[in-house]
Amino acid sequence: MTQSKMNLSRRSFTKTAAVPLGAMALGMPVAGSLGYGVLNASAQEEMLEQVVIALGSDPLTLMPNAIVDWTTGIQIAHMYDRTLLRDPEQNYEVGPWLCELTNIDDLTWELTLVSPDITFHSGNPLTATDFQTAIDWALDPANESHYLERWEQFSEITIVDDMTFRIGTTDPFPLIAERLAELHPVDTVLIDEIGWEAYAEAPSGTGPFRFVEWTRGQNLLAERNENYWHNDVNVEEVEFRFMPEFSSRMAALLADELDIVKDIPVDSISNVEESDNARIAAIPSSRVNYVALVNNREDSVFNDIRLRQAVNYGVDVDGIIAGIFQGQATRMAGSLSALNPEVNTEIEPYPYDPERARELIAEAGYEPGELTVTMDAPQGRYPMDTDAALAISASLGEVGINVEILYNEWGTHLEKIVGRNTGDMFYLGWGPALDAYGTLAFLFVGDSTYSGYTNPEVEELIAEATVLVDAEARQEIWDQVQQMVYEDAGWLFLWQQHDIYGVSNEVAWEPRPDEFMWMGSAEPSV
Amino acid sequence: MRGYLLGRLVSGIIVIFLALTAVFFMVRASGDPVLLFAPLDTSLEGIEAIRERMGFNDPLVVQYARFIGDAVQGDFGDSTRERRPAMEIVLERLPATLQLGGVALLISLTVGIPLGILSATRHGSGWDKLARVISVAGQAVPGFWLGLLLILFFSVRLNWLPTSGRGGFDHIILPSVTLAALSTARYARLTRSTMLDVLGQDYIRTAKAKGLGDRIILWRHALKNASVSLITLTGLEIGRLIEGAVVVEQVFAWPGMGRVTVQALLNRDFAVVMAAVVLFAAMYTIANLLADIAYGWANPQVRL
Repeated sequence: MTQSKMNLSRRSFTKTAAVPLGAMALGMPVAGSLGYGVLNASAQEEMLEQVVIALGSDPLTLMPNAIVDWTTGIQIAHMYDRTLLRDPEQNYEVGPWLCELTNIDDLTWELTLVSPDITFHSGNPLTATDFQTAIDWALDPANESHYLERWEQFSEITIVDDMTFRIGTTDPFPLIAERLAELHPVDTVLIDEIGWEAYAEAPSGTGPFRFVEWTRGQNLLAERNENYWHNDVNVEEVEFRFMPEFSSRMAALLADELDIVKDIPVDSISNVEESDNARIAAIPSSRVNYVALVNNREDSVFNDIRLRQAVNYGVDVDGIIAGIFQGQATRMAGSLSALNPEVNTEIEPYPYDPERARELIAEAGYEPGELTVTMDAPQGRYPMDTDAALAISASLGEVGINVEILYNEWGTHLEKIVGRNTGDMFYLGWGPALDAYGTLAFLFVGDSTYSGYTNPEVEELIAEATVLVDAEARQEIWDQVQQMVYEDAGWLFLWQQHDIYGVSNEVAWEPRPDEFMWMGSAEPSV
Repeated sequence: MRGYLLGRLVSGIIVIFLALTAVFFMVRASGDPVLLFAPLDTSLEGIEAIRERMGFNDPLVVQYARFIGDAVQGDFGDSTRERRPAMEIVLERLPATLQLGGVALLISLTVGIPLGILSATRHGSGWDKLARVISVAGQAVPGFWLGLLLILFFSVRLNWLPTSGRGGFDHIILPSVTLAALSTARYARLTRSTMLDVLGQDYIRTAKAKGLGDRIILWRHALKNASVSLITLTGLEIGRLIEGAVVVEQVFAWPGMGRVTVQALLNRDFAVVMAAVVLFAAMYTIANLLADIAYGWANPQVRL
């Protein structure tokens, strides 16, 4: 047990002679521009003994492909590689990682391993069968995997050879790359030997770190995979320490017990910056925040487009970002973030124009101060959500709309949204959202549960796009959808939240907008 | 004695049953558990299918009958989030809670009682005033705030002790002191008032007249008579320490039952909450039973 590191030499670097391990050194083919900072020779000479990351809770399981949960996923991703991965150097589009994806026809996709020499931590070689085993397990209803619904279009897996397999889909499935970016192959040979249950307790993946120990409620330890196929790993050990209270995590960071803490509140940034131990690393997240203007209920006041537009003109979004967020949020123009590769870049944010807002309210038949609406807001779920809701309410009050805020505990908030029992407006975040489908097709079709906005024309277009494999044709439709939602003022478009991390000064690591916190690329600070 | 223990066992089972029943309905009133563990992009049909599979669509009475039927066989169901037996999850956290509560109780007894005695024997002195200030402060300061204050001072500023987690001896100092603060204050106050009362009794005056030394009068005569109240308090304090552990374990990331219960409540992981309630109620019942047995030792007039 190495819980207490404060008096140990974690902070000192291990001087290690560069050992030419890894794919590049062996001249192995690697997966194109993967953007994980291929390490240079000087970086290889120094090693971090340990990186300690604070998380709010334990993983729910160590079985890959079972549960969709950020905390669980981040820990699993250190031990298991993903099939495909978003590439920061390609605008975060999904690119190759363990495999390369090729479209054969509308219903068939082929995946080829990027190298024949990738091995699991057990020493077993990675083969196409390991992907099939993983998919079959997730699609077995008895295993109750969260991926069952996500991968239900996978109708057939065909092994071509050890390096190649094909996935047949029931319908054209343009989202397949995003879905395969979630897939971790599993060690079929080992599972055959020890069974699934034992495998979940002692995982063996192909990732940069090898599982060591999980002490429930305390920490999970993983050690460097010196044979990692993709790059040399410069961290000897990664520890995930489970600390439910933010204030405790913050104190531990300032006491130099932790190396990385996520979600530093805006009002605590100065505490980190003024410390000798850590710095702030912030990045606009692909998670978007919006206020739904409920128009999918008969009795809703926001069935009137003039009022929806009035809200967009009447809220000083830039002022809220500058004031409450101290600049740590990025304004959204439409329903997709600027980071989304499929965003319609033609759309400009609604200007702050209180006069126009008052005119629209008057046109809708309301005297100033006559209209009162209710807004449901979560507390502590999103950065500064409580203050932001208050500021929105104040802005609207100035243009003549009274807003009564109902603050909810997260579970209650979600329940009200799903049960369609919210007020006229509700505050929500969505993401990480780096593809149009994952936002538009989930939010604006069917019951529009999480968006509160429905429009049959928008739905028709989305239905058309979701089966289009041709990327250009699909983009044209996504552009139209975004334009329509914008003109229709489907939401009060707010901002991309910024992910704010406290990072030890001795760790060189930069966050990503897709919240993928991965120490495979971390290095000692120079 | 045997009859008494049997009676207490039956009443303990009734207490646990009532606690389970009350908590069963209360946690279900908190809302739908499925929404909190299904991914946000799960379709409404998918959410409905999970509810159906887990039996959350059944009438509450049916769910309750099923739960009680399984519980009497020791099956509290599986955690909806971790997908393993709820009792296993809670039991693996029990040692940490017992360790923290035990150390906190030890601190309370060894600091609170001497403080109360000091305060009583030097009634009106500066020591007395200091002890009273400490007692009031211990009762007035919320554990959550005190814990953070201790972390900031001893861990962040002085870098003497770890901020959190369970490990070596140094890890337990701050959480146990935080947890013990209120109990220590209560022991000190009760000891002081009881000792003041006892020290004014005729038999103490008689003992003094016989020429017995102060130490013998204090420890053999006064404290033994005061101990009945302290035993009563201990029975209650054990329960309160368990309750206090819920907060302290959160602040110090102590991997105990309190923390797992809070997480389960926030996540509406009903099975884990119910398993924890059973254990908490059992611990509370056992603590009070031990306190009753200790009465007999302290006061032979009490016959069990």
